[in-house]
Formats: sequence, C-alpha cells, structure tokens
Amino acid sequence: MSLTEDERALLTRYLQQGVGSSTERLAAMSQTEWGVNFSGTQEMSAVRVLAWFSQNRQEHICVKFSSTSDVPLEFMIFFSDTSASAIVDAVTAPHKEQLKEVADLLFSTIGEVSNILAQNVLACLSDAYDTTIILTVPEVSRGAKAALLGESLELYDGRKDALFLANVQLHSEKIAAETSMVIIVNETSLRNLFKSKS
Amino acid sequence: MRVIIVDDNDYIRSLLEYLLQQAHHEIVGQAATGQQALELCASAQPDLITLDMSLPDMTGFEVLPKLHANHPHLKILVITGNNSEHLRDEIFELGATALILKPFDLKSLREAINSLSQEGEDASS
Repeated sequence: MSLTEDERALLTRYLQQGVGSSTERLAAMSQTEWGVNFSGTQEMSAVRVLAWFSQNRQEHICVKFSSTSDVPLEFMIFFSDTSASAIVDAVTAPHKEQLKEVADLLFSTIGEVSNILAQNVLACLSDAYDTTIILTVPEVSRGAKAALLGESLELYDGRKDALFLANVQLHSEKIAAETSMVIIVNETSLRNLFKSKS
Repeated sequence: MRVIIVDDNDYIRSLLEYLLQQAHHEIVGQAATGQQALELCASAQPDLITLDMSLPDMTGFEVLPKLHANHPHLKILVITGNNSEHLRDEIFELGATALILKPFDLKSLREAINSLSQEGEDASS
C-alpha cells in the first residue's frame, strides 16, 4: 500500500460525499426519508478484509461494478440477505402491484439501488477532476461474504492496487440496513487523477 | 408517442413501461442490450427511445451516437444513475435530446417527455 495520507483522505471524502448525497435519491425511490451513517472508512489489506468477512457466515448479496476507464477500479457493495430484502421492500412499495411480474425482483432492485450509490460516488470524482468514469452493469450474486469477496479478488494485485473498506448504515422509517463497501483502485491511476488538478 | 425502452434491468424496464403507459404513450419495443436497441430502432421506427447508459454489451457512449446518426429525428431520453455534470455535458454532445436521473417518477418522466414534445412543436411551427 503506497497511497499517501492525503490521497487516502481524498478518496474517503469522495466516498462519503457520494454515498451521503444518495439519501435524497433513495428517498425518491421509496417515498420515505433516508439517513446514512458511516462507521468507518479505511485502507486495508485484502487478507485482513477476507479474515474479517469470514467471521460472518450469513448469506449476503454482493453487487459488483467495474470500470476500465482512465481509473480502473472495482466497486462492491455487500448486503445481508435480511438488509437487502428490507431495502427492496421499501423501494418497491410505491409500485408493488406493477412490479409483481418482474423476474427476480430482489436482484434487479438491489442492483439498481447499488447503481445509484456507486454512481453517486463516481459522479463526485468525475466532477472534481473533469473525467468520465463509466461503470459496467451491476453483477449481483449471493453467498457467504468472504467467498463473494474472494471471487472478486482474482484480478487484485496488492503491489499496484489499493483496497478500501467502508461500513455504511442506511436507515429509513421502516428499516435499518448495514452494508459494506469495498473499493479496489489502481494506485497509479488514482494518483495521476488527483494530481491532474493540483 | 411510440416509445422503445432500453435498460438491462428488469425492474427499471417494468417501471418505465408502467409509467409511460400511465402517461398514454405506446410501448413498441423493449431492449436489454445496445445491439437490441439498434435493431429495434431500425425495425420499429419509434418517436422516442429511453436509454440507459450502462448496458451489458456496449456503453451508452457507443450506442448514443449510432442512434443519433442513424435516426436523426429520433428523440433520445437518457435515463442514468450518474448525476455528474461532466457526464451530462458529454451525453448531450453525443446526441441525447433530454436526460433524467434515476430514480425517476411519473412527474419527472412526464416533464421530460413534454419538453421533447414542445421542442417538436416549436421546430415544426
């Protein structure tokens, strides 16, 4: 890990800013107010995150995005099964009848909620540095948290990539959901991006 | 208007279908990929297409200019989860006629489509 303190602080700031600004849009989806709390954002080694995740054996849903643009990165959001179901129920409530026929509504909806969270974070980076960061369509999968993360680490290279973990609570009138966000980003690309405006 | 819906997400396509029908538009096709969108536009000749910028086979940045070049009179409403101003400028440069953010509701959809209809009336008068 060779990101400087300032670089880590910058990325953390954009992450928190982006997720924080999602609350208004989540509120529009579910027609209720939402709040967001960050309980921690830090750069960690993959081994440490895997060890931490392996302590939780509950089924989780992982939504993964990649970007192959000027800033190669992977963005993963993990929800417990319970949290995911609660979020989907809240978000689909206004149009429940119309959405009855949607195949696999849970995966579709949690993919879209995650899309809004991830896109909001990247929009902060895009606007700060006049760059376009395009995400792939979300890949949604279910399994044990550590196993889901392990699958996503195939391309991770600890010599070149930085891994950030953020724990975020999303809450509204009817739910309290805890999510983990993992961002893996190429250090050199990120550094070049930050330098482009310094 | 005759509308094609383009989004890889079932939930979004279903929601758009319902809301557009509520607003009395005719859905003439739905596509989950960029290639399907291009083919459908050629065969169904819609007035309006709603376009997601993240598709499994190509990004909206690839689809958008092709749609605009092949169908210059087609109204293209981009629907995106990304609220970046930088991205918005690029999207309009590539040929989008209007843009709304996800999540959308009936009101925001109606306002966006009404602005497209008004544009058409202004151009023809």
